Amino acid sequence: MIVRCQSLEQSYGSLRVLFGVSFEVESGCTGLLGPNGAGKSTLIKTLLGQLPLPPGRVSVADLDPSVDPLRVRQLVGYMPESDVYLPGQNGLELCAFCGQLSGMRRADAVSRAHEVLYFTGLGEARYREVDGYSTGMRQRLKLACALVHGPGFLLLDEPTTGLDPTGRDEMLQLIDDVAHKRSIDVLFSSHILRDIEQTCDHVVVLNEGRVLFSGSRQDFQHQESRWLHVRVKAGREKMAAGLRSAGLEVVSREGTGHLEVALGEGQGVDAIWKTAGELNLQIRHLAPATVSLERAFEKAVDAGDAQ
Amino acid sequence: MSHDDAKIYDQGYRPFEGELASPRSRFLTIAANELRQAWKSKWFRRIAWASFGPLIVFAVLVVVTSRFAALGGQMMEDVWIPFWGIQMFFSMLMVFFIGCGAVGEDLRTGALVVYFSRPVSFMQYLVGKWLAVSVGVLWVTLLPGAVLAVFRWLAEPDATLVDFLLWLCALVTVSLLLALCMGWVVLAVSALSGRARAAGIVWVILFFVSLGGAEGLSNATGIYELNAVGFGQASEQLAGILFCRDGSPAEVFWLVVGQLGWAVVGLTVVLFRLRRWVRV
Repeated sequence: MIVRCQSLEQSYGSLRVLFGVSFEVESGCTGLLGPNGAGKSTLIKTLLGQLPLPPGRVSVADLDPSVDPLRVRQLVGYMPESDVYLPGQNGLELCAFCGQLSGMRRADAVSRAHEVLYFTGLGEARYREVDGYSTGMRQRLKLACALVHGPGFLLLDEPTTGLDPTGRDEMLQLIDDVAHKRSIDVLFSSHILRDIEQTCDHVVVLNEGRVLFSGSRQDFQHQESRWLHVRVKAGREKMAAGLRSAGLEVVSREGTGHLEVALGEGQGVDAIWKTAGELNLQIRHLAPATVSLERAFEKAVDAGDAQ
Repeated sequence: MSHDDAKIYDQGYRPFEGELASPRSRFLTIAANELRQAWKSKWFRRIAWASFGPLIVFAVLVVVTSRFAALGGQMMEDVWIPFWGIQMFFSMLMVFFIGCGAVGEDLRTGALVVYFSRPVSFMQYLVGKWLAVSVGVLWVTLLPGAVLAVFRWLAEPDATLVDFLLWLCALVTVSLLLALCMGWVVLAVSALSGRARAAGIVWVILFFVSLGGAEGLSNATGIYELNAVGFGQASEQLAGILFCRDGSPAEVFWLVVGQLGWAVVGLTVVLFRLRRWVRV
């Protein structure tokens, strides 16, 4: 377990931001999903030990940020959302300085800076001043600075902010490469659901300071789906009519060959089998419909608001 | 070769297997970085080397006047006071380059996130920034002053080891006080100004006001202690007293308190501007 939070509360003065947040982040690439103002950045700052918290509530790589925040920050690579740079420095100098701030010797830091800047595609621009970098280049530089000291865990806060579609795809490819080929665990915070869907295996869903879901992304998308795909050998319309009579919601999509059936409260797949049996129809396919992450997220937020 | 093999990010990245040092020495990294950035400026380099010019001049004067004194002439009264006045001016220039953007530019560009997402504590950040400014001040005060003290000791026939050690003690005292005071004042100016250029203008004005203003005030009122109101004037007066061993303990007390007071005010301003990060 890379990150463990237990009943975490955070406030800025009298404004409560996180309400009893509990979740666990496993190895791999985890998406921290939530709309603006959900508390994602506050959560990340808490993980870095930048905000006060009682001991024992949070664990990052088996360390408590409230007890040993400096050690946590040494093990973690953080890519902030905001535009950050030290004026008057070029990419190489900034990246090497970040490595030194993490504890690397200067020679090691400079050598590593070259490596990670090439890795993130900034090899040719590493001697240019950061002031002159484009938005995409600055995002890559931030990722390089997060990687320079060889962390085992990356915290990426909105890494595709401000990028055009090509830049976004390239950044996501980099993140995917880091998470799945370089064995670096990643917590990827974003409100752009397609980014999470493209790279992450697990998700933590936050809304208004509360965790709505924590676990596998596939489970999240299936959990929020009460829809099933049903395909019969013959008599599709007859099956649709029979299911409607049984009180189920049915959508018949032309061209797909299957029916979309929604289970209501207290209803299970038995109703579908029973209907097929009564009509003497053969079911050839019965599986949960995979809902897009965006739809699953909208449902989760609506359900959370309703509570 | 497949398309995937040709992608540049499939090459070059390796896990880092070296050691990461303990966070305790991070203030040295910060100070070294500040000095490295300042050194990039050709004007800073010129000033750093030019600050040894007065040392050469005064060293020659010491040697010449000691020979002249040996021939029966009059020894130059004292080299320390004019020397210190000139070196203080160089200090102002060094601090201008190192300190004026030290905190303000970090605030403006969001660089504090870079520092505090690393194993760097707030105290190390502050100490590192102050240390960089102090090194600049000591470079133009303590270093040439120590060399001049050696010249005097060797050149003057009446100078003893005790004299040399007393000069060194005086030099260390006034240099460290000046570094303490100038360091926190310029960091405060930087923290309030946000832009290095604006902070630089304010710093230069403040320096000259602290010199002439305090002296004018003291002369106008006849109250010696008012020299302590300006950190530049306080340092100059204190140097005169300690080097020449001519002054009362009360005068020394107020001059030291005056400079420490400026340092405390500067530190307070910096802490206020950076209050969001104090608990990091």
